[in-house]
Amino acid sequence: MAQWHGWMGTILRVDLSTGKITKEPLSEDLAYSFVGGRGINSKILYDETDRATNPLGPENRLIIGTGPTSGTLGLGNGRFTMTVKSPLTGILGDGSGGGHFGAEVKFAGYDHLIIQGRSDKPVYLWIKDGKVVIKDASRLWGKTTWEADEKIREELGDRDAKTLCIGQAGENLVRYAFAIAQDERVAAETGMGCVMGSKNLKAIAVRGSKSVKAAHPDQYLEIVKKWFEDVPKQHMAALHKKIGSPYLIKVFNQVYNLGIRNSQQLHESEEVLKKLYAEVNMPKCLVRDIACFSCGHACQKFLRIDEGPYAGEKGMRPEYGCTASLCTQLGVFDFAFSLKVTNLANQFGIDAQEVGPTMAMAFECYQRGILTRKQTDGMKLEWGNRKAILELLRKIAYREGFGDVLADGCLNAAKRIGKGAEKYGYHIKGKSHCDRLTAYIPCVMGFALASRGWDHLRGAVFPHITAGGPPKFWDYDPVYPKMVTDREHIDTAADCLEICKWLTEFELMEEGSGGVSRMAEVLSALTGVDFSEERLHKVCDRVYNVERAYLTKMGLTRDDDVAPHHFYDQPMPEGPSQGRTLDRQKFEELKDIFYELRGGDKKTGIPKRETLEGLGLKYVADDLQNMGACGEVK
Amino acid sequence: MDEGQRTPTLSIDSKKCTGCRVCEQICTFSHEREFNPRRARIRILMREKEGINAPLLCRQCKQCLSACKRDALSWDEGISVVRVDRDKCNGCGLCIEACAYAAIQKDPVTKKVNICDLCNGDPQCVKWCTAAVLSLTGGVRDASQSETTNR
Repeated sequence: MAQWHGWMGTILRVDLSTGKITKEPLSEDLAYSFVGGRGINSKILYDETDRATNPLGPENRLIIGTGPTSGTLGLGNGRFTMTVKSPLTGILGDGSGGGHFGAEVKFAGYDHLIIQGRSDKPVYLWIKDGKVVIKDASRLWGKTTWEADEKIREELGDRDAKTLCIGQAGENLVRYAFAIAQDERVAAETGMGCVMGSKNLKAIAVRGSKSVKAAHPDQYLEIVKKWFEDVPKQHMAALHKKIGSPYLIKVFNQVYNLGIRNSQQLHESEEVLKKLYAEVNMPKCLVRDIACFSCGHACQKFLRIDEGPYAGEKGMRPEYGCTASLCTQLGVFDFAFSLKVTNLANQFGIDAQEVGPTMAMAFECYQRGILTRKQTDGMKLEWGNRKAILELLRKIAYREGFGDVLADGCLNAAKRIGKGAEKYGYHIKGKSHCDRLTAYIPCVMGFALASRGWDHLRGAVFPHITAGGPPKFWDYDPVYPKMVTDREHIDTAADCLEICKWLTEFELMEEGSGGVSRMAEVLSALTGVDFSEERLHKVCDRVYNVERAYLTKMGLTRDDDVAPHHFYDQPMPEGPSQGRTLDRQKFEELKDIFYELRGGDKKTGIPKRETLEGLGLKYVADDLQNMGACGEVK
Repeated sequence: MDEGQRTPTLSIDSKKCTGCRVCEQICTFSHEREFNPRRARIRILMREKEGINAPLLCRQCKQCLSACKRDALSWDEGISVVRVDRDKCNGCGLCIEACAYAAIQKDPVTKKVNICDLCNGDPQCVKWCTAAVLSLTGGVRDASQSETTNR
């Protein structure tokens, strides 16, 4: 291969069982077919794990992917994706984080890292350009993510090294433990930290000095410059830059879709919510705007609380998902507490968006007498009990007492609690979420069809935000499946290039394509490979089909592509939609259309052989056929 | 002398710095046509736990000139910047030690030092900074920094 542009051309593989370190060339075929990030990660996961793979066994893979744009100049270029077979759901698991870690991996010379095996003692990985060392982490074990980050950089004598750490939750194999880059940039979903813990891998530290090159530098700079100029003009941009995702609290509350007290309530008065609104409370504790690598948009905020019970608390502004999960869903309406509790989750290394709904399930069980104080180690799981929330978070991180019950995720916890607790535990494919949003069907379709379980970043089209025009509720318009596949393509392209979704699906939605055409332009100028918009769409098709085939390989069927059970069987408690539920039959009819659009079998949703072969994935079709899931070519 | 009359210098309002490092990226790109923060003539000091970001860059104080034993650094009167003669520089690092602003980096590719040349009077970092941290003025006027870093 001649000179790589955009890509670095190397995949680093580390086997923690044997200590073997190999540098594998990135193949052109892989790069051109799957581009990078989530795309290449999912392909590697498909190839290297199967139904027998134990997510917590040494055979599981921990794959970290950057994109061609990582490390270059451009908005939202700070993302990276971690992929594993999920210990939470048993299927495809991945989490995407921001910050500076992904870029540093590129500067060290790698596109992807694959970690396999299991160390017999705690270690961390130190990657300094071509030098890769497995280092002892005994004295880091038991430390929070923040402490580990500090100590590692101290030990390495390099303050500019970028780390990816787990906390106590990952060490103790909490199934939704996450890995966190730079204290706050979380690859949150589906248990990345748990898999790191199972491998005895406390952290990865990276430092690089290599360059990322562009094939057509001037053209690339022109495109990037235009992007910098265009984003602030979009109607969402100013609000998002000023407040960030927490403005969604207000938006969802207005449409009676804000999850409160385990979604028993979907709306709260302005009087109560104003204590929680970032718009109201952030200005007095704002220190400064913070950006991810190379992102002039800088939507993050560093905060410091100066008064009240949480005085002295400092850190990054919690995202909407953290606030909804750990505050509204648990009956707390206090902005300072949202920072306190999110910081604690970040330090222990626990996914807020998973632990919040799991705790909310337990709180509702307590409310209904299914759980008593005897079972909860004496804790009163009453709505709004902040002390109990903080204490329970700690117990989960250490798998202590009742915390151990909740540490295996909402579904497993509800099963363990029994006595009908499952009725109050909400999930899709084993993954929870803080949203309700039942009334808006294209959003629910995105939730139900996402490849990693209940997810808002993989096809969900949101009311008031990205759909354009006034949202239509309870409408099963046959155009929705196409809206979902369109959104999937935007999200997948962004995940493969590793560009932030705020800068693609949200900020650039007014372009219609959400930026797929622009992403194709960026990719072509950067890599020198001619990626037309159509070719990038094909990449997205490939990623969809490999992920879908992986789910099929794991034994999932279209019956798993459903909304959480309460969407169907628990009538909306209040608001204009009061009393309504999701119509199962109509929803299934929309799914038929979706599967057909995707080139899958209408009845089963399984990719058709001709679809797979058309994408150069004949071997996937063969795999599926061997399982009896994919037909012969006609 | 009236500061406004002085030759253009970069002014820093580090309290606004978001740590996006776009300045590092455009700096390397303008000089080397590739992306690599380690090759930049500006860099951002980050203290994540305190939310602190501060650009480190040349203030044209000339301290480095006398530190160089190889006559590789010279003062360009025309636009008031330090020039590095890459043929003479051997990357020994004496100028890096002499710099009170920690503004000199050794280029990992050339193994020579890089020092801000104000892009010959039209600094790209100023143009690209989206947080209005950097500006081109007659003198360095960063109250928050000059007291602490100006030894």
